[in-house]
Amino acid sequence: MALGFCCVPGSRPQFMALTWTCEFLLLSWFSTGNYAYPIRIRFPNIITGKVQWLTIGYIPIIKSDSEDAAKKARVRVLKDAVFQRCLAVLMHRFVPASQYGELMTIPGHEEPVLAVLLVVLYATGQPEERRVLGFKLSGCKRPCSQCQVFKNEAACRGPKACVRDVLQHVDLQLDDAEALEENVGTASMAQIEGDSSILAIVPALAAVHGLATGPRCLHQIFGFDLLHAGWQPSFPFPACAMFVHSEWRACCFEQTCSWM
Amino acid sequence: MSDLKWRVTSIVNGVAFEFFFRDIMDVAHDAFGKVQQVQLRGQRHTAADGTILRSNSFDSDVYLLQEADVLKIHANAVHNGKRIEPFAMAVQFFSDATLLSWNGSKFLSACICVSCG
Repeated sequence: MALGFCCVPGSRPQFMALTWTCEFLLLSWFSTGNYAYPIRIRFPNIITGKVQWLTIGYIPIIKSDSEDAAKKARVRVLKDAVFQRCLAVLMHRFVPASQYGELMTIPGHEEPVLAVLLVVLYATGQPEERRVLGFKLSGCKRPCSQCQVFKNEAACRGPKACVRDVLQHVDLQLDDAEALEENVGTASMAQIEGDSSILAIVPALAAVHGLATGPRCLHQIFGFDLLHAGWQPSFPFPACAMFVHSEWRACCFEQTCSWM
Repeated sequence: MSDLKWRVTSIVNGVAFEFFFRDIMDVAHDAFGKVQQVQLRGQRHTAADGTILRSNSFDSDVYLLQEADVLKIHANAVHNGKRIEPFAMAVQFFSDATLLSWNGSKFLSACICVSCG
């Protein structure tokens, strides 16, 4: 089954194994019975002989119970906003630790060391990737999170456009979020957004040092890149054409996955 | 739950949503406190013909790029008058809200594993 293939120009297509795990949990101790899904982290610096993911939170799932398009759109905005707030809660100590470091005692070192945190991978599917970055998932003109390829050219093999500028996009998202807060109207917001496919959401990960500052790797940390090859917007499974980063590949192949 | 340092907060945006979470730094301190072996530095690997080899997070471009930045910024870090060694602690995230099925049941746990040759 050709699920994933590498499509770097000039290279041979390579097939590779992918492991998808999906878990939803009914938090039954809530009076309302909310669904939630886990967010997990892993520390590659720890050498244990197996890949160990640690659950750090359960993000609420928000579902629209209406078929009305306007209500659905409002729920979509709410979903994105709640997700970013959950990430912001998780990043409360992470952000200063990524900039100034945090003292930590580690085995093999008598003296404490300065641990400076950085995000090297966000492994997720394309819908979640767009949500984390505050980009539109559907109805957008530029469907790739890494580059600014236009949708009409997205099905062509190989790079067709320049990479997205992190600062420029975060600036636009800040302006757009401000415009939404001030209720300036959809026309002004559309003018700010242009054809950049952004939403009026500022990604919480942009506050982490190294992602929107320093080397500015915000758009490079995602495990799955949409390839500009064989991608059909109407296909229900967006991962039909993907490039798998070395980090994620390592997660799949290195050792047995262990979920906590 | 509190023994495992789990906390809950309300995310309010018109409606209140409960968010259960653990602080990442607490998790990191716990995880690093228990381990036997850690790797503090990344390294670029190259084959004999000069091509770049990639095998894990420590030889990835994203890690090496950010690590170089971290080591440059914190090269002269001092604690209690003594020089302190900085290291780039890599963190990988995973989350996915994609629904494989929504059949109205009260609990869903699904796993797909596809291997292609």
